[in-house]
Amino acid sequence: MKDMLKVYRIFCNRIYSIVVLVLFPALAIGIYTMLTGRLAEWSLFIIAIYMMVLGVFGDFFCYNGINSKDFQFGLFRNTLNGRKNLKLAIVTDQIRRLLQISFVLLICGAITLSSNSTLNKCEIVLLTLILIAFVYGANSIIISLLRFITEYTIYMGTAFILVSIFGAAVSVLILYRYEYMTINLWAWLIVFIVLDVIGSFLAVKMPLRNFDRSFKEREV
Amino acid sequence: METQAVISCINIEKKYKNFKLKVDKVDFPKGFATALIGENGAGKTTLLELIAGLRLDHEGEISYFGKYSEKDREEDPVVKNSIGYTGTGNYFMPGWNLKQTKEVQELLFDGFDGDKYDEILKELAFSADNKTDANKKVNSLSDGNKTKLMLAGVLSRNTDLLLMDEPASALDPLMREKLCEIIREYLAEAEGEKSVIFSTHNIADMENVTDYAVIVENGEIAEQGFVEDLKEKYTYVKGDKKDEELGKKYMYDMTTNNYGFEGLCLSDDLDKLAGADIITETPTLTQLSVGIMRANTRLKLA
Repeated sequence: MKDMLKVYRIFCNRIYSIVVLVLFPALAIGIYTMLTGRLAEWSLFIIAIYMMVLGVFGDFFCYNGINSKDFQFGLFRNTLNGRKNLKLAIVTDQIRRLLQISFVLLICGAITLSSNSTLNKCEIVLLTLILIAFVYGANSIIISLLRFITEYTIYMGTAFILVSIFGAAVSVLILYRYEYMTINLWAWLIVFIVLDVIGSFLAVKMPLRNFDRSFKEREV
Repeated sequence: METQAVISCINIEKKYKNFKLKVDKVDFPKGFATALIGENGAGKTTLLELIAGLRLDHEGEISYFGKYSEKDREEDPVVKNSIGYTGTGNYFMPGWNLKQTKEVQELLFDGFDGDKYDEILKELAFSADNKTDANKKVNSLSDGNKTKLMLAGVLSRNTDLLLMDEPASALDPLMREKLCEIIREYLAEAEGEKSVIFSTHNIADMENVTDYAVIVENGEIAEQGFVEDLKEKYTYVKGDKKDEELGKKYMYDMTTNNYGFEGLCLSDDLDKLAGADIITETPTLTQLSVGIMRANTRLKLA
């Protein structure tokens, strides 16, 4: 556990941790509390997008460019412990990501339970779990793609596009639920759990693949 | 001089788009400081990175400490832990602060001594704006201070071999002298069991610490040997303009000006210049290196 925290801090410094782990989640819960009275479970979708944006934009300040061929792993390549610690750092970050999203959305979900929602309690809980799975999976896939980009403006522009695409996917969920009443929430949960597995795999595998590749050159 | 080899490279070949490193055989002697000398793009950094295990795809074999192979280097922590490497480029992540550089090295390297790290930084007069600041970011440091950080890092571990790529290039003259002192102290620590291999352009500054020279040109080893032996093998010759044609025939390398010529001659060929009006002297390492590089270079010189 101590090693996990140490290695996590290699990439995610104190300021990042304070802003991303404390400040923004507190802000999210505060905003949600204000919104939920008027919007009920709709606010969950808003906070889900907010958490997605936070995760995606925040990652630039930690793992910026770690999948790109120009990323220099420096010290990590000089020791046999380098790959192991790199993997530990990324896995710890993924665990942190899931816990953070779960924490915020579960609190928001709990607040929704006491709101004037049209959903019953079971549906609210299921919807919360679906959004946790969705946000985590979407985040993991988006950052796996964005980690190829090192340039700030290009990163932010691409991040907006990708978040919009995934945000649109959530809109489909809303459309089916409220317009056609045909959605099976359990089916969506399973779909997003599969998304989580894919996202986690990509988020961990791609930096390690890049690390292994950094020892080889393209030859002619 | 018969010595053991700390690193042996045999039939090394590594190809790039417009360049090929080809080393038939080079043995870096144990217990000595070896300078890897060559012009830009000669292949010094590539060779050092192959030895350090930072580039894995190449042909040929490299052996370590007389008994370990490259496979051992990648599998047995004893081998890689015994090697300290400092290079150019981003060794530390630019966003790390000074405290993190120490924490990371404690995590990544077995046997890293944090207290010794702090001590060495003090000894190197490491400063950021004349005061040590644990929160100062690596990317805000000068190149000289970054070099000092790297040096402090490798010297805080228990290594048997230091591989240093251009360690002196970012350092001021006083600090280069300090670097030479550090290398001498490192070699003296374990009575001939420790070795240093460094690449350099600052031949003059590193000459007084160099025991063995490997001169790389066009991706090949142009010359190698103990400096004292090379100084016996070659003689620095200065001659008059009238003997220039004779010089061109027998000199290994020479330059001419309005007054005459000068350059390297193989000591065995000196008698062929007997009739000429020449002055001979023992070459410095700089003269040796420049002469040998010039004789083998692709660079178009006047």
